[in-house]
Amino acid sequence: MTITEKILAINSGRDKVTPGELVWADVHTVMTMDYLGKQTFTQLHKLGCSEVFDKDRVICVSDHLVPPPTVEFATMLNEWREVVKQHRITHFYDLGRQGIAHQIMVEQGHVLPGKISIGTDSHANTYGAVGAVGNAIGVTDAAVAMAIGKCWFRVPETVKFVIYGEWQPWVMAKDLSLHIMGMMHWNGHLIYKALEFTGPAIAQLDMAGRMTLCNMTVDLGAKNGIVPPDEVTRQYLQGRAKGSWEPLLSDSDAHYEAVYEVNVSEVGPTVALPDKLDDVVPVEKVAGRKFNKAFVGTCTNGRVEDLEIMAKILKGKRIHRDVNMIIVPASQAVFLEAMQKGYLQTLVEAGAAIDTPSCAACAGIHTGVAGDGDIVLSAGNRNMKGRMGSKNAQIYLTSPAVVAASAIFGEITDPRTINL
Amino acid sequence: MQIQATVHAYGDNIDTDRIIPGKYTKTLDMESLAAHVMEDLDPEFRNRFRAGDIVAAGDNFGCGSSREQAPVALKMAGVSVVIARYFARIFFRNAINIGLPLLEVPDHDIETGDVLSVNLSEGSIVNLTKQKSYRAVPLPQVMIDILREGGLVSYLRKHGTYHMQN
Repeated sequence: MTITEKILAINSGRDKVTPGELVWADVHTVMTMDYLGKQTFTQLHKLGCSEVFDKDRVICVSDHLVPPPTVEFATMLNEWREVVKQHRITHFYDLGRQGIAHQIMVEQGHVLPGKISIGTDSHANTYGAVGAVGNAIGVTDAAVAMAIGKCWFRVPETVKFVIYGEWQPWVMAKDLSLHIMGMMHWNGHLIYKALEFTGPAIAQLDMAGRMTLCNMTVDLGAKNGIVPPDEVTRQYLQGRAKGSWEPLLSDSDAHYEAVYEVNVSEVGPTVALPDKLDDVVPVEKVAGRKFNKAFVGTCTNGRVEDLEIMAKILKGKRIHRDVNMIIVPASQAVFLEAMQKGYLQTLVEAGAAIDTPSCAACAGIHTGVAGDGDIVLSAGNRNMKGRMGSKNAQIYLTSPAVVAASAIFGEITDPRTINL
Repeated sequence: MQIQATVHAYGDNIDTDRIIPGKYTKTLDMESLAAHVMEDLDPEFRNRFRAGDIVAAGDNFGCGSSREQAPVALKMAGVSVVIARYFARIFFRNAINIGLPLLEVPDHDIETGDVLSVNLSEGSIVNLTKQKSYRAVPLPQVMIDILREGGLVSYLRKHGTYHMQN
């Protein structure tokens, strides 16, 4: 069996599963957040259930609406807080201890190798970074899982990506994600599939990069993305893991529906053009295009490592006068570490605005949204029309390194061409 | 479950932001979603659409954000069934869970204005306008049962649990 099949088998009490089967599996943690949490608890109550299956394993996070910019949001948050308190949830990451739910789930050790964690937000695929099956579900699924600690899954076919070669300077996991997006397209190949990332270039990738890579598998249409646990995983989880875990790995005779190889030495900084995620080009093809807003944050690229590479590029530089840059650390822990390491100071000195951790403009409902005519260079995850606010805005997606380099000139710039 | 109605057809990769824009999903009033369904994609949808009509699409319908409000908005607007070449997985399971019927038809040429006769439990579709028929990928029995009860919440309340079967 592949690692994903094994995790679904073990957690549903079976010796073996085969793709296409439906299983009813135990979930280790269920995450819900401010934006959909009240609805999730309302569904739970509609089920006739007044207590969650385990107060320590239902994780509640405020990320889409905090701090509230409107009376409407403030009222929604009050209703959310009330219902979380009513259920005496142990781990409630509210404003002040907040972060983007997926960052919190991994960083605070609520996701463990060999287990299943689900959340009411599409980027729950991020959890695969530590060798877990991470899956996004709707509020009704989440309510059922909160009631009985189980969820139904269709066992997916697994597609393996073997990544080899050497990471080139200024090339990030985001570039690999976008490169794979351009290589595979949205043509149905990867819909419902488990994507397994292995190979020497993955072994070299830090946890932040693994999170980016698994995060965007949902945008490839996949069911989950997973990196088999290794020494990087073990070290990352040391002192974080809330619970014990055993690493599960794919068997040597596991069946893969397809295997693709990618030589990362040939992957350079990459950009997805506005409106379509799979309309992907090397940065040099669009170098010189002007933009007026720069955005770095989100569950895809709001981590310390992302801010570090930006600080390296922007150290002693000034962001172009026609560009407004918003940077949103993915959690309070990220914020604090980036502050202690001096990255935030460098970024502020360069002319960036730092916002408090939240999903911010990514889903078009919170701070920093795009208006009519805006051209946004974003290190987020989606670029469809209207995603960040106005449907009359354009969104280019790329890595934090490309955003930082480009911000200096007010036009898309290859970070390999600038003098530091 | 037999349906006969007119089609409103769309292309590939219709994401949940276009089914219901994020700015309208902050509310807990699910019925209010119906007023804005498909508005960025097709501003005339609400004027043309009559309760019971069918939405058809190409590949990957419902991709993007996991918002359950997308199938809810379609259901509240009165969509009787969504037919696509294939669905994004989160949309698929959300639709079943909230009781919005959907059928996956890998090969179809259904267009706006076609009148279809659909048998949901058999997964058979007759295009009365084009005088053709199509076969949908059969839904597992448990999903047909959930749809028949109007969604997972009412299903679980009635049956106490549900069993997996292929």
